[in-house]
Order: sequence, then structure tokens, then C-alpha cells
Amino acid sequence: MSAHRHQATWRSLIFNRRYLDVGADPDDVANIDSAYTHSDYTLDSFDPTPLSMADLREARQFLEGAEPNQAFEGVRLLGLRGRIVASTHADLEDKTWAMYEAFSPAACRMAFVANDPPHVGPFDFKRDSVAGTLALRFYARPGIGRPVVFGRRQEGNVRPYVARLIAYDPKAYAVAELSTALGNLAGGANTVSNPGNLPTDPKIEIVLSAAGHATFTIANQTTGHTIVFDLDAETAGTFTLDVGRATFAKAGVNKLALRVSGYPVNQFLAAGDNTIVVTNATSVTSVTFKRRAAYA
Amino acid sequence: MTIRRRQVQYHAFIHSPGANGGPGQLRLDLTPDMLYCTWQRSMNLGGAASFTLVRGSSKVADIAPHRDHLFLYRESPADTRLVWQGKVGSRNIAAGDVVFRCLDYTSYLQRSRTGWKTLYPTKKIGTEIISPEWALVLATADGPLNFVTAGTIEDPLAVDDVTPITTNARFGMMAFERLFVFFALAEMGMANTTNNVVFEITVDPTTPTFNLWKNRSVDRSTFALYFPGNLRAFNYDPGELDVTNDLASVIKKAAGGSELYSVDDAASIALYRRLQAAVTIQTLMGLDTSAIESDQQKAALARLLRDSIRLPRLFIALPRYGEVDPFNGWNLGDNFPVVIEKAGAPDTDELAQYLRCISIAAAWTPEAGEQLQLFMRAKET
Repeated sequence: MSAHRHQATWRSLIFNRRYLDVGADPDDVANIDSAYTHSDYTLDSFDPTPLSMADLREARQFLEGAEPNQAFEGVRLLGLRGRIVASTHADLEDKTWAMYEAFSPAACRMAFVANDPPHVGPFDFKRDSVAGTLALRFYARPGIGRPVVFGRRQEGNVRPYVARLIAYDPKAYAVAELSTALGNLAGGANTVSNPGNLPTDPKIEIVLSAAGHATFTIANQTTGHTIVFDLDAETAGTFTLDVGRATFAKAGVNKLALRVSGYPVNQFLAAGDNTIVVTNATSVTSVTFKRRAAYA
Repeated sequence: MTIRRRQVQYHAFIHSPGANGGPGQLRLDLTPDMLYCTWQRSMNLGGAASFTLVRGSSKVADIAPHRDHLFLYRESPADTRLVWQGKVGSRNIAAGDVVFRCLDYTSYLQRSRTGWKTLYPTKKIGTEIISPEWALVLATADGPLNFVTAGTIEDPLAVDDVTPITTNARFGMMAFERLFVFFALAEMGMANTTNNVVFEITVDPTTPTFNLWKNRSVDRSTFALYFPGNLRAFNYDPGELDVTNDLASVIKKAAGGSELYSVDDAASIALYRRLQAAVTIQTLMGLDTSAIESDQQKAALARLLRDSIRLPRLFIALPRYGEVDPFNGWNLGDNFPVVIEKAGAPDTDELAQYLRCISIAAAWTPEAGEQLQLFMRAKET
């Protein structure tokens, strides 16, 4: 895991700020920002090992047959280790207490109230990849309450720390949200990619200019799932199918009653390219898939 | 090919009340919020379901007991089916989460009351008692089941399979709740026969329908239950303690007066030794072999003996994941092959016969999947 080779962020903290945040090789001294070589939270190691609290696969194989029925995992513990590097002793102390605040459950709870998803915050990091640096994130909350910061005699201006976050959703998501407006709303094939290696739940925005069709249909031919809505009696507006939350709304007003067939939670995007076919798109001016790639 | 996240996926829909209090528009999909759900349906009895949401879910406050309807869809590789339907009954609110307990429509017959001293003398059980009682259910002002459609109501038949069973000349009701009444009438309708009388309110997204079937039970091979095999656990109580093979009862003599009359079963006595009991003939329902009451009483005693020498075979099956698809080509009351290896005697059968499925329960969580339980017993012979 190469997060230690790039910048990472948690709330107000920027880790490895001495590295230019361009995904460049930190081993090249040209990619070091000297302004932060003595004022930084170094992230020397990052361990996103899953903690399988609810992983019953072995028990299921024993109880229910030779094959595991599902591949699922429990929460993910994120272990951060590094050093606080400061320019003065006072700066070292301020950085220590800033770190306490950044990982305080009470402070995080208030800071995350309005987030989407709610009550968690993004830990953004990067990893190296042959195809280029990937900017990823876990949606997490503080694990042990405060980081352990080892203040000691003759420490100079450097203090080691150990911090921990918990991600109840164990998937890593792309930082960048992808948005794809379908080009063919007349029954032709559209490609919507999910660059990750796990299914992801999109938000599908449907813009209606006037009354639509009684069987407006979105079919994902890759997953084999279809959902149908009756837009016949509707007026112009933007409808959002939030697959992760299984809601269908127009400007915040619940419109799930328009569902004719199909199930919202089945409208996930499989890893890779998905072929989407839209039919009966009367008065539908656009269908846009917004999603983040998800990684195991 | 369909890509699935889980082999068995449940979908929990909340519908607003519609016409006559029936299921109206779909309002909430609880699927991603639900921590778990359970459901249970039983033949001729009420069914229940439950689900839990975390207290912080925005959907909690939008669910109204006794008004909103819960639909549980079960999606499996075999099919997608509405397996449970009813109303949200009550909430148990705690600091961490909220448990919703729900009742199926049949359960609401417990909140429907018969008239006071309503007499049904010498009436057929289906068309002349349950049919008018069901009409009264629908006629109840603002009743909880006004939206249910009246469907097929058949008359349970006697052992000759021709003559409708009727009540005696003094039969009536005194303000009972109707689930009890219908259950008792169904039991009367199959007394002393091998018929399986079933009443039900069908699980149907648009038109739940009330039916009374004079005999609904089919031997099916839709699935067979084996241990060792596709059962991961089971509980089997053959019920030998219930066996009696020498019955006596006081019956009327044709010439007047009464006498003690006994019957026994030689095969059972040879197996278990003589196990005597004195019994009371509680009903002559289903017997139409003779116009003479003493002969009917003798026939009733003979029928009781057939039941009392038959092991009840109470069986609870916990099939492996995905082995049984509820209601996919079968109904409660149907019979399925059950084979159990005898404990301590490999390759020997402890049990190998069709058992009747009278109840089914399920629990599902997104993480651990589904656990089904089938409750079975020996069928009438």
C-alpha cells in the first residue's frame, strides 16, 4: 500500500505535505516542497487491513455447503503511523492538539452531520498504479478516539503518532465522482463504466421536460436488472434514483410510488463497463449516471 | 445472466394505505436500511414479520402502525416472489434502533368480531357459515380487511367426499374473534376425514383474496429434505408418548341407553404393547356412513383410533441456504419427502415419508443471508 508516498487528508490535516500533490515520484528530490520539510504530519505507513467482524464465510461453508454464497467483509480498520514534524516546540504542541481535534469523535460528529454519506468523513489518499496514480478515499470515523502521540524528553521537534480510523463501509472509493450522460435514449446501447473492482451504487438523474411515458425503462444489460417507472402523469423536473438508499425523488419529494417494476437496490453498476439501455423515454431530455468507482 | 449481490436478496417495501385501508402507493424501500427482517406464515393461523431500522434512519418516523402495509419480496436465482404481506403492527423504540412488528392480513381476523348469539343451525361450513361471516367482515364499517376480495369458498366434505359437512341444530356463535372461529370451523371441516381444509388471504400485491378450500394438499417433489444431505439442522419428535391403541368411549345404544364401546389396533399393540385410553367423542363431523347415531359414534371411535396410533411426527427442518424457495410451486399444507438417517445406525432410515408443511419462518440479514425453518407434521391418513 503506497499511501505513504503521497499526500493524504483527514479533515483539516494534510499528511505528507512535503510531497507535491501531483502524484509524482517522491523519491525525486525535485518533487519535495521544502516549505513543509520541517512542518508536516508524515504518514510513514498506512494499513487498511479489513477487520472481519461479520465475516461468516467459513462458517457458511461448513453449515451451508461447499461454496461460499457471498463474498462480504466487515468493517475496515485504517491504521495510520507517522511523525509530527514541527519548526518549533510550540508548533509541535499546536500540531499535536490539532491532531487531537481532527480525530475527536465529538468534533467529527458535528463536522460530518451534513456530509453525504452522513456521519462519516473522507480519508483521502493516493496509491501508485501502472495506469497512473489513483486518488481514493475511505468514508470513516475515528477509531480509538484520539491518536496516540508520543511526547517525550529530548524529542526535539518530532513526535511519533499512531492514529486509527474505522470505515464501516469497507470499500475504497474514487475521490472523483464520475458523471455520464447517456447519449442514446431511444433504445440503443450506452456504456457506463465503473473503473473499480467492486459493484457501486450510482445516483441516476432523469430530467423530464413534460409528461413522460407510463413505462419508462432503464435496463442494465450487464447485470440483467431493469427498473420501470410510470412518468405518464408527471411534470417537468429532475428525478433522482439513489440506488444506495433505495429512494426515488423529485426535488426532495418522494416519488417511489411511480415504480412499476424492478428494485432500486438492484440497479448497481458492476465492475467494468455496463451496457445501459433506456426505452420509452418520452419527454426525457437526459439520463445521467453519477457514481464513484469502488475498490475492494 | 443476472449478476447478483446475494444469492437471496430481500426487498422490503412500505405502501401507504389506499382504498378501504388496503395497500396503496409504494412509499418507502427499506432494503438498504433494514438491519434484519423475519417473517412467518402458518396454515389457518395468523402470520407475523419484523424488521429493524437504526433509530437515526430518516425512514423511521415515516412509518405508521396499523396504517402502512409491508411487502416482503424475496429474490433468488429461482424466482422473485412476494412472500409476505401485511400491516405494520407496532414499534419497539430503543436508544439504538427501532423494531417494527407486523401482522399479516389473516392476523387481523383477530380484530374482527362475530355477532352475539348468531345461530347457524344445520348449516354447511363453507357456503352457509364462513361465507356469510366473511361478508360481515367486509360489511364492517371501517373494518381492517375491507379491501380484501371475496374469492372461492368451498364446502368441506364428509368421508364419502360428496356430502357437505353440516353443523348440528344448536350451532351458533357468541361474539368470538373470527380468526378463532375460522380456525375452529376449518378443524371441524376436516374432522374424521383425510381432507386438509385451508382458509387463507392470498399474498397478492393488488388483490389479496379470501378463500376457503375444502381440501388443499398435494404430495410434491418440489424439494425433498434429507439428513445428512440438504438439511443443516433439524428437530424431530416422533411423538411416541401420544400413542394409544386401545380406545373406549360411552356411546348410545341403538335400542336406547348407553354402553362402553372399545376398539383397538393389533399391529400397534404388537409394537408398543396395549396402551389404553378412555376418550370422549367430541364431534361426528365428517361422518356420513350411517343414519344411526350409535353407528356414527362407533365410526367416530374407529376414526379416533386411526389418529391415536399414528405418530404425530413433529418435524422442524432447517434447510441449507438456497435449498427451498418459499411458495415457488407449492403452498402451505402440501407434503414433501423427508428422509432422516437413524442415529447410531448408518444407512438405516429413522424417517422416510411425506410430511405436511404447516408453517414456514425465515430470517434474513444482508451479511449472513437467509435462514429458513419449515414446520411439518404427519399428514392425515
